[in-house]
Amino acid sequence: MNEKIMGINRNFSRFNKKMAELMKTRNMTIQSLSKEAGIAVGTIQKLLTDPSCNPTISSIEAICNILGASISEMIGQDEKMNTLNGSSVYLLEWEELPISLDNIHQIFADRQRKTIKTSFPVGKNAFALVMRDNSMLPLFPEQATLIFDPEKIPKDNSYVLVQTNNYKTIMFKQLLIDEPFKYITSTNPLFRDNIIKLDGQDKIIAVLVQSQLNF
Amino acid sequence: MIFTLLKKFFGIKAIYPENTFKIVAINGQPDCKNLEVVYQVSGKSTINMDKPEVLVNELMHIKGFSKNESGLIHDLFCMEKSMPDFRIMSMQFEIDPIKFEIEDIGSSHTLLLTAKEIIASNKIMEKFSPNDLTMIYYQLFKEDEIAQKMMKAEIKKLQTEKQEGNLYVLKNSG
Repeated sequence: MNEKIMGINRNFSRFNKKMAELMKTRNMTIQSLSKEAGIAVGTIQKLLTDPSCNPTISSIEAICNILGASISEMIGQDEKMNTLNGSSVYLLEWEELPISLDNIHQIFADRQRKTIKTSFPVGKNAFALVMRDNSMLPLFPEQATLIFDPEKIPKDNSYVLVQTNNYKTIMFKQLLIDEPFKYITSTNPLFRDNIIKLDGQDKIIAVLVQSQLNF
Repeated sequence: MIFTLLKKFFGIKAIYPENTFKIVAINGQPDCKNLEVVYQVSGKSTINMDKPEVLVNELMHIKGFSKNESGLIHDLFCMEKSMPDFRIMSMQFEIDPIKFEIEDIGSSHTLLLTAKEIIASNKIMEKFSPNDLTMIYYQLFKEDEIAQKMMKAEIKKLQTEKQEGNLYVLKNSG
């Protein structure tokens, strides 16, 4: 059922489907969602089964927060609205890395996660990390939220997450390409001496698409 | 009655004697530019709320506070005034050149600008904090560096092509 409210195409049958899908991936029951979102069980049942129901914005918001999806994703706004509203990504811990496109959804679904809203749309496999040091100053101060997309192709001067074989750690650095060689470096001059040449075993995990400064 | 009419006619405002008002609370944060002074008319339950800017501009009003409190209001006003008007919310790396998402703190409106666009206007530049300006300048220099590199490569390519062309002419001239 499509309905046009305030110029936005809302598709409630899509809402039902999306809600059921997300509940399944997060192993959530109607009762657990009702408890966490603070919404009556009956309302959630109705939202799941009745495509003609018209939920309030506050109910949608509470459900979206628990399920880790943006409202635009849930109600299926048209493409133009999506590009204006951006989307949400999961916040991961550095310890959970490395990740690959094969195991990314498993990592996303394994526990309740905080989501970060992006002001611009990003790929569906994008994730967020919090900057943990000052090695990438001045552009990326400590505690800045970094949003990465593993599907993006890195270019010269891109900011990337790299898994190096020698250092056995995951690093956030700037990529410098001088064909056929690739190097990674910090932007902070105090860390600049440490330029690392990448070899065939080193792997670029994801490319930075957005950074948010926290206030 | 006549006195009130005369006051209205000449735009004379009431002069409040010292200690007419007392500060009850200060709401908001200076960096968000949303400071508000909650004050009470001494001995009455009337409570009013105004921005420090408004109280300082209305000299008659500020004189109604005690010396300490009017000093505090002045400090709050200066603190709020000295805070930047714009701040960088995020940076978009997918777009070339990188765009800064900027928030006008007062109105909460956001706009997307490149480093070059920001630097082009002194009026915009003045409104950022030094930390944000460092980021903007850093990005600008990086973009310039890349542009220079590309230009040098192009010149080199042109020179090589020219040399190769000369060689071809030389080879085929005899």
